[in-house]
Parts: sequence; structure tokens; C-alpha cells
Amino acid sequence: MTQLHAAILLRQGQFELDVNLDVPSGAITALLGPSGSGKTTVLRVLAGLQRPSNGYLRCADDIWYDAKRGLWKVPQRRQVGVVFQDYALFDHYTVAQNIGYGVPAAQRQTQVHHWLNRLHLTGVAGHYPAQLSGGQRQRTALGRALAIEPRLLLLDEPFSAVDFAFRHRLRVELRELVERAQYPILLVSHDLDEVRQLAAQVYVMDEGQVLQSGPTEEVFAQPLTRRVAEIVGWKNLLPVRLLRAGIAQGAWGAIEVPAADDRGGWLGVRPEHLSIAPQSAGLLRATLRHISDLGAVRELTCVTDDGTHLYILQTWRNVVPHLGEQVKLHAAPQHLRYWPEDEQMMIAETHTV
Amino acid sequence: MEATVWAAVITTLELAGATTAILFVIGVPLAWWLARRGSRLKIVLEAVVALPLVLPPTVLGFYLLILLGPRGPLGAEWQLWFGHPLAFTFGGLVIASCLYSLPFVVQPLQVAFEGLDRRKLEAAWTLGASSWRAFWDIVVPETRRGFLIAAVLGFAHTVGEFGVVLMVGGNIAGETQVISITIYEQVETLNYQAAHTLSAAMIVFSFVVLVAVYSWNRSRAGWRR
Repeated sequence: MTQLHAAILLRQGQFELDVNLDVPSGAITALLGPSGSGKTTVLRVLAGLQRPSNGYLRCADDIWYDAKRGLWKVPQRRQVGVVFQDYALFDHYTVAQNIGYGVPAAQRQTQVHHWLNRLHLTGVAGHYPAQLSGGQRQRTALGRALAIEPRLLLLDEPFSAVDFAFRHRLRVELRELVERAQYPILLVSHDLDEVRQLAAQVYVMDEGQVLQSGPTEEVFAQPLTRRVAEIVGWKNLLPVRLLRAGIAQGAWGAIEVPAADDRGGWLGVRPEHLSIAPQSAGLLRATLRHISDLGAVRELTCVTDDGTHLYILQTWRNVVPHLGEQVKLHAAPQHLRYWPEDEQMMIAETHTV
Repeated sequence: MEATVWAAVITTLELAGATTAILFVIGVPLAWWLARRGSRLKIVLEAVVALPLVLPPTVLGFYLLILLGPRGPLGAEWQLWFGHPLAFTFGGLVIASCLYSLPFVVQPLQVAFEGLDRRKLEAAWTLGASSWRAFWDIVVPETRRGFLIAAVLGFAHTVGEFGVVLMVGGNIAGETQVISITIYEQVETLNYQAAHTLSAAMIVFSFVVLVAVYSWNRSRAGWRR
């Protein structure tokens, strides 16, 4: 069931935001996009901190905004839990006072006690934010938002101020915490791992527009346009000059493709689906330029004759040629995606390869 | 010390206290407005607030005298209501001091408000706090050093004024005679001993105030890192 329905139109100088959202409860929905795409503005509108030029907002049966009727609910009357980027904790209040700030006095003690326990903050209940670790600060912010029993939870890049080493664990904790939530949860992020790990549903945003939405797995695997592909981590995007039976060509070389199409466009493959082919196979020639250690996997950077960079993610079991060596690259046909040029009219000027 | 000297000390403290209190009532909303807006009106208002910093006190005093005098618009109205003129009274002195010390209260408050992380205020709103409650709970404690500095500077600057007081208040013992004017009078009558005592006290007072303000400013910077 759709818990939150939002239609937001907002003009701010040159920037125009035009977004429609349907957010269910019981799972996390992500807003993914580069900085400046309007994600945080959407969050501010939902929290009641910024009024749009036009549109409609409804959470469950409660109408928060209706431009036609001139209706606007102030943030105080929405009961929206917000975890701000960098948390915006009250520095002169203790952890317990921060968590209890939005709770009516009658329930404050029980609510604070409950959330201190639940978030493993009992030991630091009397500490001030300046005395806390990054993870404790984040949990305090989360506790403050959850203690008001929100009707909508908004998370604005909640892990950006946490040490990298703790992020994974905190994400697991967050997911467990909100898994059975009776309210919709919206996560704003530009971190692909975070979105994949946490969100069941994703809205991909760019320049104030939603480009694609759907189940996270589906959007990441089947981006509808080259720009979406770029945003969801398809680092290998190749301009295709000519596509003939079974082979796609560009200045960068050629590669085998399943479909035949004579239009120009873009060809994409995710780094984890590109591999170094055995000597005889593979049409795409490149030079291995760089190897980076990413922990569990490593990333190989190859450069084609015309200078296009291609990225390969592989496990440590794979044998890697020497730097500077010529290699042939291969991708299984089912992992290649092709976007005709005419779909790309609006965004053709931006390209990474 | 003579009774007139003590009367001057008390008049000075009363004047500085009343001025600081009134300036807080006017200065807090004004500084809040200035810290939040970016319009052309803001620039004009900021300049008006800063005018007493650059004008000779006599200029301010001269126009205030005209304004507050029995034939001035404010003075005439005052006389109608209260039966006595405003110039050369304690009330007139308070009005003059408020104008003269305005920047010393407004500017530290404005700087403090501008440095406030607006999202903390917004967080309080989303947690159900009214604008008024959020102001007291979040803004005042977060900017308390700005309030403290504004109070101390407003008070100290009023204690230290001379020109405006002389023009608007004259030199009436127990009514408008403040420390700075008493010193002037003691020097004129060659009573150097009394002038020494009062002047030295003023130097100590001002020094202590400035040390306090600078140390608060320092600890604020350290606190914020």
C-alpha cells in the first residue's frame, strides 16, 4: 500500500524540481542521484521545511500540502522523523535530552529509556554530542527521530559522517531497526553500495527529475537510459558509431553484441561483467594501465587505442596480466546493454568515457 | 569620596543597565532579522545600525537634542504626556545611549545568529517545537556567547560614553551626571586626586571587560574547532 504520495513542483531560480513519488511502508525507498540533483530539496519539502510552487502531498490519510486548496501543514504538525546530514544534534543537550526533545513530557521517560536501550546508547545517556563517536552520534540522531513515533522517516545521507569501517555494520543495524516499520522510509544517498544494501525501491534523480524508478535490483541491472546507467554505476559506457550484425564498433574498437542495429548509440557494461578474455577470443583490445585494491575485489583500468578508459572488477582468484600488457576484453552478451542515440538527446553532452 | 561622585557612579550603572536591557528587547529581533535576510533593505539597516560607530558623538548628540528638546517632535510629545521635557533628564539620556550603543549589541548578536547551524532549528521544528520554543531551547543556548558579548559590550560602551551624554544630558548631579562627565568636571576644577581615582577605576573596568570578551571569543573558537 502506498503510504506516501508526493507530487512536487518547485522553481528556484534556474533550478526546477518536478518529482512524483509513491513510497510504501515496511521497506526503505532510496532517492539516488548526484549532488545538486534535488534529492535533499525533496526531503525538505516532505519535512515541511520548504514549500513547493505547486503539487500535492499525502501521508496515509493526512494531506500535508494541496496547492489547489492552498493547504500547507507546518513541520510541527507532520510528525516526520528526520536524520539530517551531519545529524544537527543539539550540542548543549545530552544524548538522553536529544532523544527526548520531541516526545511529550508524559511519555518522555519511557520513550527515552526504550530508545537508549534499543540503540545501545544507555552507557552514554548523559554524554554531550561532542563526547560521542561518529556511530554514537548517528544513533542519537536516529533515536531522536524515532522517539517521536514518526509517520514518515527521512534519512539524509545518514552514513556520510561515519568512519568507513563502521558503515557496513551500521547499515545492517539500521535495516534491522526499520524492517518492520509501519511508516514509509526515504533514504537520500549518492552512495551506490548504501542504496543496494538498504533500499528495496529506488528513484534515480538528476537535475530535478526522476529518470527511473522501481525495485533497486531491477533499476541497477536494467537502466533505461545511458544517464541512469551512469548514475547507478555502469562505469563502462562506450559511444557506438556503427552497429552491424553481431558486432558493435566505435573509435575505441569493437565488441561482440547479441542484437543487430544500425543506429548509433551507447553500449554499456558493468565493471563486474567485463573480463579479460583468453588470448584468442575477444574483439575489444586495450592496454592494462592500473590495478587498484578495493579489499575483497580489485579494479583493473584498461585503456583502448583511442584513450577510452574501461574498468573491470574481479576477485583475487583471477590471474592478472602485467601492467602495460595488451589484453582482450570480453563481456557475456546478456550483460551488455545498448541505448540508441535518439533516447539520449537531452543528455548527450555529458559523457564519462 | 564625595557624595556627588558616588551619585555619578550610581547614575552611570543605572544608565548602562537600563540601556542594555532596552537594547536587548530591540536588538535581538533586529539582529535575528539582519542575520536571516539578504535584501537591499538589510544593507541599509546594517549601515544605519553601524552609524554611531563612525559619527562624532556631537553629531548624534546635536540631533538628539533637537529631537528630544521641548520643541522637538519627541520632546514636545513627551512634555504633553509627562509634564516635563525629555532633554537633560535621565529618560532622555537612556534614549540617547540606546542609539549610541546600538551597534555594540546588535553586531555580536547578528554574528552569533549567522553562525548558527540553521538545521538545528529546523530539527527542533520537525520535533514539534514551536518557533518560540525552538528559539529559547536551541538558538539562545547555541548562541549564548553572542548574548554575553552583546550584553557586556553594550553595558561597557554606555559606561564609557561622554560626548552624547554631555550634549543631551548636561551635567545634573544625581540625574544626568555620569562618571565620564564627573572626571571632566574634576579636571576642570583642578581636583586631580578624584580624577585619578575615577580614571584608574575606568581603566581597570574597561580592561577587565575586554579581557572577558576576548577570552569568551577565544573559547568559542576552540569549542567549535
